[in-house]
Amino acid sequence: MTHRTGTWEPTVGAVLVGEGLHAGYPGRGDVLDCAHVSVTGRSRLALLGENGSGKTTLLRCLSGAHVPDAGSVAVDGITLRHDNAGLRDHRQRVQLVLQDPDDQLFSADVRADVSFGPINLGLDDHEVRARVSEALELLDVVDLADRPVHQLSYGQRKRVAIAGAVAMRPQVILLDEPTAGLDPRAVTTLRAALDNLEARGTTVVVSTHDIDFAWEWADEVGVVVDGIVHQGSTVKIMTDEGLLRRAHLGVPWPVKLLRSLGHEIDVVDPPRTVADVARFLG
Amino acid sequence: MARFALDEAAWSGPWRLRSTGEKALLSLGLLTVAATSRSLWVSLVVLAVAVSTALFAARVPKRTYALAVVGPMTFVAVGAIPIALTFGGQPTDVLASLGPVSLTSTGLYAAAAVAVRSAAAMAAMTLLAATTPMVDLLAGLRRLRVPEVLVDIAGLVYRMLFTLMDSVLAVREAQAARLGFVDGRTARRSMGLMAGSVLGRAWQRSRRLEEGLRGRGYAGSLRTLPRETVVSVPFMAVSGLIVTALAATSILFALRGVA
Repeated sequence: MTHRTGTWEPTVGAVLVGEGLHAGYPGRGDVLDCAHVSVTGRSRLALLGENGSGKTTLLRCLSGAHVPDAGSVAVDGITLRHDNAGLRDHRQRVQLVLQDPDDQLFSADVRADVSFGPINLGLDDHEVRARVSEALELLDVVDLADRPVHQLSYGQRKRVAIAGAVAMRPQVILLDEPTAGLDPRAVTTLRAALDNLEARGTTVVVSTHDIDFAWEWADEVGVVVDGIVHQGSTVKIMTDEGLLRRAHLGVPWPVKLLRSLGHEIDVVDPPRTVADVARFLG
Repeated sequence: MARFALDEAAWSGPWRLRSTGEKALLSLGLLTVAATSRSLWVSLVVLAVAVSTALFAARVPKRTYALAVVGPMTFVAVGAIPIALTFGGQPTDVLASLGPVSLTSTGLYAAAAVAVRSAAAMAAMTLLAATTPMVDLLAGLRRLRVPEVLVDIAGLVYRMLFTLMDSVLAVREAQAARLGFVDGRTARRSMGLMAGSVLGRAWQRSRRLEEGLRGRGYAGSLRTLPRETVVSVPFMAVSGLIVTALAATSILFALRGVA
């Protein structure tokens, strides 16, 4: 658990750490009030919280897009400085993909848009082309490469926006509500793309409202409520009904179902999918 | 997403992957001949070449092509009317008259020449517009060393046009569902509210887009990887031949005084 007071230590092996973050907006007060979060390498972290809880602000702080009023962000032990050099260095390691892909896609041509980041890194054309091809493959959008962005579906645009960030080859990629507005098929495609990213060694952090997705996908969960982050293993956090109620979140369906049948949730290997639950129930 | 027929034709046509230089040589060559030729016949041939190339070689949908030229042609037709008519005086080649206004064969020929020349020039430009997506045209301008900031702005305007159109259509639909266009007064009010709402959204989107771009290392330039294309020598040769032949004919006609 993360507390507003007392000492806090990032988890062992954390690559990205936000410590004591305070952030707010004029007229809204503090959205984050001494929030701590640590992202462990190769671990899947899902940030949950109701609308306006501060998930996006937290991601923006971690990416360097928002300057916190207090607190610090560090990647690989290097504290983020919000000057040009510091941000440039940070953004090569940490990339944020915004919720609405149209906030990120500026070019009408998919391949051209994905090439934008690598070009800004000062890479030569050969390397830029290699990175673009790699990102398009990882996100399974190779067949869209020569299509105009405005003719793509929302789900396709989301994957292209992620490809644009992936082409920077960050250590950590932060995805703000990646499943929002997607149909089930697009969610499945996106999950396969996230698996590809992880297989390549990228650490993925996702903010979401989708508790079932978080239960099934995440190794760790951070619930953002009252300006702080309650972080822990998925099972530990998502079986804490008091916390979830306070955050106005539901309980994942396997937890709800098994508890209603009088079963306890296995904290080591909890049933996450329909197949797991079926197997559990025998 | 919002769709524009000419843009869709450019993205989906068989000439999409041809190099911009090839298409520009043909289109701009025809445009130059059309704009400089004094001969009605040469203009007619340019018009025929541009239209048939667009419809049969580049397979631009006929309706799309027709809709693209009909608007500008209306302006040309309206502009040609005063050229065809003579006011006052005592012209000798009157075909018809109404009071002081006469239609003369000289005026009619001059009006036809202007209209055909304009139509030919327009058809040549439409050939390029209907076969070359805006991103390729902008990449071409970048290669021609047009100031980067202008190309960047044009590219952003083009991209944002579609998201803005989506906003306009969504707001309009929401307003229409709540009887926002039931009469002239409510329609005017709805249009005003829509303009305010869409401008606000555009402003917010531009702020978020800037943030998204900065996240990917934006530092003042929107340079991206240009598309790799192979220039077709036969295409260039045939295009060059057509344009040269028409230009030579135009010069010859001018020297011999053929109208």
